[in-house]
Amino acid sequence: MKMSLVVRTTTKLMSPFLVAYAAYLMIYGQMSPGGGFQAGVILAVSVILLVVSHGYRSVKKRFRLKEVGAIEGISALGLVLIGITGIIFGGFFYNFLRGYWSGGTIPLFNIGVGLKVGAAFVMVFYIMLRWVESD
Amino acid sequence: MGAGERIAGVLITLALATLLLSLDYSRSGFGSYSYYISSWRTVGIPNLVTAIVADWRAYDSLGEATLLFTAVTGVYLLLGGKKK
Repeated sequence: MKMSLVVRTTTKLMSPFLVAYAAYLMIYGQMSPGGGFQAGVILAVSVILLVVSHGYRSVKKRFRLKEVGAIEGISALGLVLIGITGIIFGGFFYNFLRGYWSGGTIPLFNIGVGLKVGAAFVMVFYIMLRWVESD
Repeated sequence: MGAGERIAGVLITLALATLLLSLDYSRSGFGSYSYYISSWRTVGIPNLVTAIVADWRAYDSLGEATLLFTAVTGVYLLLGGKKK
């Protein structure tokens, strides 16, 4: 069930900017207000916007469920790795990159959480849509 | 949902409410709150919330992330299969 041409073109135009804004929140989470979770939700919204306007089948070909699940798994692993490498330098989640750039492991942590939350919500949306349309 | 269950539900929630209200919610002075406010600058970033969420209590945020992960796998297991 696709929406009208106007809606489709506007969402196609707008979703890259949503992704850019989510990337900004992710990377600058420690300097300005932001953080992993908000960025992840905005990432998910940019995909869900496309799914709503273009219909599930066409977007499914571009953002496959397997890839989204892989992104979620890999970023979850990344978070745990950041925590574990902290053990070598000190305690669990010890900020071992503090000197290199402002915030040390915090941007990495935000990026990992952002990708994970985004992929998680896109997956939930896909699963529910697939269940409803049961294609 | 018969009337009996609905009444039982209301009673249980009322009991829970009285239990929770009877607890002591006064702010204890020396908890982690005052420590956070007084010395969050040691993390070295201007954003207090991210300093606490991503650096001091990153383990809690990791727990939150895994919580979301289990939620998604739960939804996938429940609704993922082909509809019979």
